Amino acid sequence: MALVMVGCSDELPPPPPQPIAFSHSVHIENEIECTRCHEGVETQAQAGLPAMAACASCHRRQAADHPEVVKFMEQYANGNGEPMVWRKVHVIPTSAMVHFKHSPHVRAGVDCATCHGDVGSMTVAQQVVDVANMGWCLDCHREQDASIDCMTCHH
Amino acid sequence: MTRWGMAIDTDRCTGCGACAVACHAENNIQTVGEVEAARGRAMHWMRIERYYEGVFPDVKVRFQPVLCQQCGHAPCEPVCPVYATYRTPEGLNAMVYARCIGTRYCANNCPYTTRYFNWFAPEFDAPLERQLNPSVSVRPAGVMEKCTFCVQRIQDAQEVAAQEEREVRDGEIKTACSQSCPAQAITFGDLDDPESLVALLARTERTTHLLEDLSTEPSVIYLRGGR
Repeated sequence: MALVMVGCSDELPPPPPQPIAFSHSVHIENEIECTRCHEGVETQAQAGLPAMAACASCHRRQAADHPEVVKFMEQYANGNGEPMVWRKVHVIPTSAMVHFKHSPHVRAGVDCATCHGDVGSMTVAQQVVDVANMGWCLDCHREQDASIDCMTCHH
Repeated sequence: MTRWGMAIDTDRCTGCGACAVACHAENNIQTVGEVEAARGRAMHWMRIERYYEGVFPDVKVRFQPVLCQQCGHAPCEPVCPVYATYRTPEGLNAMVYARCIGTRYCANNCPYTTRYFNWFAPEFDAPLERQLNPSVSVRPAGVMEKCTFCVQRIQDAQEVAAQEEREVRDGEIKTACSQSCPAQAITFGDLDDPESLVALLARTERTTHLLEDLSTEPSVIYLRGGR
């Protein structure tokens, strides 16, 4: 419980404005796994975002008349291959010089929601845990007997 | 237990400097320009020292690549007031940039002068700013930095090995300097693994350490002479 208390502060930043009103919950309701779009999460440092072509491959047919999907398809068609500029929701300040890797956390069985909150039920992705709080990381690392060597993350 | 170490064969080294260049590229090391370099503010985690033996015209030049010796008994560590540099469980002399407050005591206490202070905010001449290594922090002005034995490469190899459910193989990890050395003078590996190549080289009679009588117990071994 203490862990949640430390992580959840009232001063978490509001969700940043996104170019498209993307809803995680709708995608989860349609039984699309997190890893379908965030492909790197099991093997790479960064979970990654899908290419616009990947979104378009479904949305040519799926919900093609939804206003946000229409907006997306227009950008995709007229964007000259420029990627969508999604804004980061979970930001660790560069001054911390932390190199977070997703893959070891997923391998250790850490649920996505532990850090990202229950994104699956969010219409707008929002920070629930203060991921920039090192004490919060360390509490879990100590509990799980993971490395608490500074250079594991700061290098 | 793992204890990372490096063997440098000075008989093989031709002094080409590829290691120093590769190190700059891998580790996002800034260049300070000619004027500041002349003031002793140049930053090279890996540098080549030259020694001349004999009298002209019978001169022989010897080269010695010098980097952080990752000492087992490091003089830089106890003088840091904020514990920004310490010995890791894997035998690395860690440098935590986010902790460093820039007292520069560590650099003053390093007998090998392999620690470098960021006097300036990092600047990279175009187009070098486009090739920064995302796995390595760009250090801001006011902090100390030094060779990390390419800890990002060590961690990447360990992560791949963990995903494949096996141990890290000897030779799997190559530091940027060892990878780029055309004479293959630099060998990196686990000194505590008796089967590793670096441990094998450490057992030969050609082994020397830099400033051995200081008892700093370096993890970098220099090989010289012998057959």
